[in-house]
Amino acid sequence: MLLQLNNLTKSYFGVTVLDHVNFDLKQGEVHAILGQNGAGKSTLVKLISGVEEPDNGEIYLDGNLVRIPSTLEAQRLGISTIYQETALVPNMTIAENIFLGREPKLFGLFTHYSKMKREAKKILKQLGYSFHPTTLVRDLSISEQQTVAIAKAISRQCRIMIMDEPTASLTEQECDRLFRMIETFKSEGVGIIYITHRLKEVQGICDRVTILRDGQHVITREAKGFNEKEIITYIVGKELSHYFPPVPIEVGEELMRVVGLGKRNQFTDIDFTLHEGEILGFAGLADSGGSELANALFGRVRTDEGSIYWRNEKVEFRSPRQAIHHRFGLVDRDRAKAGMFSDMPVSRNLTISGLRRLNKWQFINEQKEQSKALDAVLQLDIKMIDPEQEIKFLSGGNQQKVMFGRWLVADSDLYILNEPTCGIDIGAKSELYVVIHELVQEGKGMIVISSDLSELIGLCTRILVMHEGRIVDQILHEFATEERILSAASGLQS
Amino acid sequence: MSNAVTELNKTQTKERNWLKYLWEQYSVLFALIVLIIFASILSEHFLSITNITNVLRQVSIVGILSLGMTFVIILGGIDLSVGSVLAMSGTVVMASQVTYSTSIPVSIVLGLMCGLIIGLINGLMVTYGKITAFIATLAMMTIARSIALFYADAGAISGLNSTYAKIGNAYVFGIPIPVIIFVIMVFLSYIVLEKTVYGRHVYAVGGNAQAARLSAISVFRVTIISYMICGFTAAVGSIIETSRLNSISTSTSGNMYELDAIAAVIIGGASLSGGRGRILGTLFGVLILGVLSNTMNLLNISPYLQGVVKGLIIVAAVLLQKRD
Repeated sequence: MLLQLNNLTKSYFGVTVLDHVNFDLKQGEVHAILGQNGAGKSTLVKLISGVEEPDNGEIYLDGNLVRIPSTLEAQRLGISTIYQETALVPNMTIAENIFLGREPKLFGLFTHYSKMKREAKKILKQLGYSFHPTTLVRDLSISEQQTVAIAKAISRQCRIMIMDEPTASLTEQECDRLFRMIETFKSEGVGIIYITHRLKEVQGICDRVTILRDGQHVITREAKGFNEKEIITYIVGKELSHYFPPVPIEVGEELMRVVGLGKRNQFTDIDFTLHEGEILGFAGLADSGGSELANALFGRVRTDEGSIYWRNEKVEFRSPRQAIHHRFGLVDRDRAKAGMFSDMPVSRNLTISGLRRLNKWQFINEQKEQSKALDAVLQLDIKMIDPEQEIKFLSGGNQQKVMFGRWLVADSDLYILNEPTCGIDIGAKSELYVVIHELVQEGKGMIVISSDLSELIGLCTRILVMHEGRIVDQILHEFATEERILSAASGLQS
Repeated sequence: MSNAVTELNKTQTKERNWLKYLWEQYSVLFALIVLIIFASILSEHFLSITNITNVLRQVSIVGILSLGMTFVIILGGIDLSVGSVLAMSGTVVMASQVTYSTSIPVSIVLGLMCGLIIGLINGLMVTYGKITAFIATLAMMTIARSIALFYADAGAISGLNSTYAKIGNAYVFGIPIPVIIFVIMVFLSYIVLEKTVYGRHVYAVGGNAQAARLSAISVFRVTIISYMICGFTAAVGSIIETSRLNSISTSTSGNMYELDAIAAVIIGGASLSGGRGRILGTLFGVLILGVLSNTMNLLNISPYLQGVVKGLIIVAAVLLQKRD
C-alpha cells in the first residue's frame, strides 16, 4: 500500500469537517474522491499535501508512519498537488515556473538556464505538448497553464499526485489528452488521487471510488460497475430539510419574463418566468452558467441575444445602475470583492444603494438615513456593537445580512442571490432563509443560484437545472430531489 | 416594541464618548496640539497674532490644493499635476489681463475654467483611457508646465492692475483674504465630501470600485467630478499665488506643491489605497506642516534640513495610523 490514512479527524472552530476518515491508495492506481461541497474533500487534500495537520489519526507512507507538517515536507516525500487554480507566476516563463524554487544551478550560484530549458522541454514533450519553454505563462490559455502545473508536478518525480478538479476548465479534447497522461503515470506506478464533480470521468479513468458526506467516509469500492445513479445516491445520503421555512406555493402576478437569453460561451436559450412571491432556484455544476446568467440579468454584462421583460415591459440594462433603478438587487457570491465597503460603517453599507431614493437632492438627510439603516438592522437582526461600527469587524453571517439589507433599504422588488449562504455557518444560514421567506411574503421575487442542493430544495418554489449553459430540467418543489437535480446537472437524461 | 429599540439604539449612538470619537477620527488633531505646545515653548514669538496669521497665510495655497487632493486620494487615485496646473491657470489669468486686457473677474473665471478643463482631461484619461492615475497626471504635470513655460518663454508675466493684488494681500477684519478663501474652501469641501450623496460615492468608489458599480454608483461620473474638483482647487490656488505678487513665474510657481499637498492629505489620515480620509484631517495635516516649517524658521534651523523633519513626520504619521 502506497498511502494509508487511518481515522483522520480535523475540525475548525469546533466544527468537525473530517470525522474518522479512512482512505488508501495503491501504486499505479487512480482513486477518485467524490462528495458535495463541504463534504470534506478539500480538507482531506489539505491534510495529505501538508497545508494543514490532522487533529487526530495517522498517515502511513509505504507502511511507515509519517507526519506532513508542511507542503515542503510533502514534496520531499513525493506528494505533488495540482490545485484547481493553478499556482503559477504569470510573468515568468514556462521553464522558470516548472523549476521555481528548485532551479538547476551553475557553480552552485547562478541559474543554469540552458539546462532548465532542456529539462522543461523534455517534460513538456513527454506530456505531448510542444510549447517553447521560454514562453511566458501569462500568454497561455487556462488549460495550457493547467498543463504547465502538471509538468511542474512531474518534474518533482512524485509518487503520489493529487488532482483537484483538473478538468474544470478544460475542453473535451484537452481532457482526453489529460486522461492519456494519467494513463502514462499509472503505468509508471504513480498513485493518483482524483477529485472531481464530473461523474462521467469516474468510469473512464478511475480504478476505485471513495465517497465522503458531511465529513464522514461513506463507501469505498471498485469504480467498475458502480453506476452514476448509485453514486449520486451515496453522495446525497438522506435529506436534511428541517431548518427551512415553508416554501411559498401561492404566487402572484408575473414579475419577470426572460425569452431566449444567450451569451456566447456562457449560456444559451434561457427562458423562464418569475412571479411575485416566488423563489426560483438555479442549480448546476460549477461552470454551468448560473453565475453568468445572474450577472447578465443585473446588467453587469451585456447579453448577445434574447430579451428580458420586467412587469411586462421590455428592459435592457447597460449597467447595474439601470437594473437597480428598476428595483433589482444582487447579492454577489463574493461579498469581500463585490459587495462590502469594508472601511465603511454598517449603516453606510446598508444605505449606499438607496441614497438617491432617500434624498431628493444631493444633500444627505442623516437622520432619515440612520433610521432606515436601523430598520434594516432590526428586521434582519444584524448583530453588532452599533451601526457606526465598521463592517469588517462583523462575522461572515452578519456581513451577509448587511448585503441583503442594502436591497431592503433600496426597496428592491427582485433579489438575485448568487450563492447567498456561501461561507457562513448553519445558524446564520437558517436566519437568512427566514429573511428570504419574509421578503417573498411581501411579494418580492427571488432568484437563487446555489451549488447547495439541499438549500435549493428547501427554499425554492421551482428549480431550474442548468448544464453547460442550458436549462435542462424544471422541477417543482414537490418533485425536487437531490438525485434528480444532480443527474440533470451532470447531463444525464432523467 | 421595535420603535422603542430604535430609540434606544439612537441614544446609544449619540451618547458615545465624544473624546474617544475625536481620537479615533482625528488623532492627527492631537498631534497638531502637541506640536503647537512644543512650538510655543521653544519660541516666544510663535503664539503672537502676527505669526499665527503668517502661518495661516503661508499654508493657504497648498492647503487649498490639498482639499482637492483629498477627493482624488479617497477615490484611490492621485493627482501629480496640481502644481503645474497652478502655473498654467496662473498664466491664463495673468495673460488674459495683460495681453487681452480682460477685466479681473473675467480673467479669474478663465483661470478657474482652465483648472476645471485640465481636471476633466485627467478624469477622462483615468476612466476612458484606463491609464493609471499616477501616469496620467504625471503626463499632465509635464504638459501643463510646458505650455506655461512656452507661453512666457520660461519667464514671468506681471500684471498691470494693482486692484488684482488686493486679493492676495488685503485683510478683512484683520484676516488675510487668502486665509478667508482657504476657510471657505475647507467648509465647502467638507459639505461636499461628507454631507452629499456624491461625497459618499467618492468613499464607496475608493473603498471598493466593483461593489460601488453593483450599488448603482456611476464610477465613471464620480471619478471625473473628483479630478475636476482637484483641478478647480489648483486654479483657486493659482488666483492667490498670482495676486500675491501680481505676477506669475512660469518656471517656479507651484513647483513641488503637489508633493506638499499629498503629504498633508496622508498626514491627515487618508490612505493611498483609497476609501479613507477626511477633510478636517487634511486641514490638520496642512497645519502640522505649516507650524513645523514656521517653528523651524523661528528657531533658525537651516531650511535645507527642514526636509528631513518633514519626511520623518510623514513616516511617523503613516506608522501611527496603521492601527488595523
